[in-house]
Amino acid sequence: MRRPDSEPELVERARARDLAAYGELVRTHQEIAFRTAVLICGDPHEAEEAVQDAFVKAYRALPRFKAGRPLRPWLLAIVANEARNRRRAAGRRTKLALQVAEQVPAADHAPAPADAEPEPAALAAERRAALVAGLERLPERDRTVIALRCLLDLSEAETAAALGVRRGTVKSRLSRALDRLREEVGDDVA
Amino acid sequence: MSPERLERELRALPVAWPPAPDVAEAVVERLRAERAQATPARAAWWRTARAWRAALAALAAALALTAAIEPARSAVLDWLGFGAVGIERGEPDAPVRPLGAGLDLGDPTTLEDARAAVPFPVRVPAALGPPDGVFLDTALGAPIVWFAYRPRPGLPRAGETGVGLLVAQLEGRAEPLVEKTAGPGTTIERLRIGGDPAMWLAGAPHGFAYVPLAGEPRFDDRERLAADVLLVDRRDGVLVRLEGEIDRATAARIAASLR
Repeated sequence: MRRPDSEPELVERARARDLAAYGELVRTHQEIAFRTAVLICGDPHEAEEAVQDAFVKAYRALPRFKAGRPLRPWLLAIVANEARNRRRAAGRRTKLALQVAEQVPAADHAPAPADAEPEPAALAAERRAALVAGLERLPERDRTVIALRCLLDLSEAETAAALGVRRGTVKSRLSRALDRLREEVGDDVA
Repeated sequence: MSPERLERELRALPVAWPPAPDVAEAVVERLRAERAQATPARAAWWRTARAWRAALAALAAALALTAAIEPARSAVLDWLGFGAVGIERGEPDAPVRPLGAGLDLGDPTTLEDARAAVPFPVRVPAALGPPDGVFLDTALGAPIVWFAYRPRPGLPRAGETGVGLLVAQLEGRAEPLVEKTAGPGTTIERLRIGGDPAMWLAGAPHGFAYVPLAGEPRFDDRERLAADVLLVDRRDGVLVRLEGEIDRATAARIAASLR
């Protein structure tokens, strides 16, 4: 079996107008792109369109992509931009369009014994709900940086690309946003 | 509670992400359709080329006939370029690299198409005439139209870009971000061009920060940015940026000639 092409190889082929190679790149990055767009524009349907448009634009812009650099931050910048434009066009304040799963997906380990105390789980659920509610109350800017960095687990460079700011700005914005969230959920800020 | 603990808790939140749709096929389909649309344009070009080739051949044949008895016949044919070097054997698909290609300026386009694509008036500096390369950059949101000019007397080849001059136009403002744009070693002089506030940045290379008409400030720090730059915040809302190895007076004269 042929070894699958590495990303730089796929990028090279896509730059040479190989649409199949580009399709592979889209498949690799579409999930993270979609989640980023959801966080920014707040609506899964809008996010889907933003992602589609962004990938079409990214293909046209590929000749400008500097070979050898990571593709993901570059793509996320284009996706986030599309998502922002759509949100702006819709003129709505986004809500955090996310839900926290009722339960942590069942892991492979053995089920807890029947006589286990339900208390810690309930507490955890309460805490989770408080965190989500706290996030909802934060200004959009704070919420987005926390969501991109902590919920979506983007790197600092990727978050910077998505927000169109410098890495230093991501750092300071995140730290301020976390402070506000701590106030929101009533944690001791001291 | 420590901020680290809060961050850990957030990272552990089991987020129920909406299922990501598979857009790969739709994207590839759209790009394929775009490509198919581009083909008729080339076909039209080819038809025109064919017509020219036929006309040239007819003319050459006529000349050849009258010159048949002349010893200089082959010289006449050479002069005509018969064999139509460029046309007969030209690859209809051969890409023509416009001036400025490779500078990360966006998609090559024409002045006419760029004007149709952006919501603001795109002006040409009368002091220079039509640009040698036109690009439309939409990667950063607010569209930017770039002009590239070949080096010529008065426009030396710039070391950073290899072209004579780059002109960018977009809907936005350089103020108040211009101070941030300039790193240590960059000097900013303020001047007025046709009544509009302008800034002359010289010295160390710097990025290009601006506030688009709509949206968040943008910072474009692609390395190609050169030393000397003139920014004009026109009162019609268009930010004009000139970049080249020219002096302040030349830059101001070119900017003042935008029509």
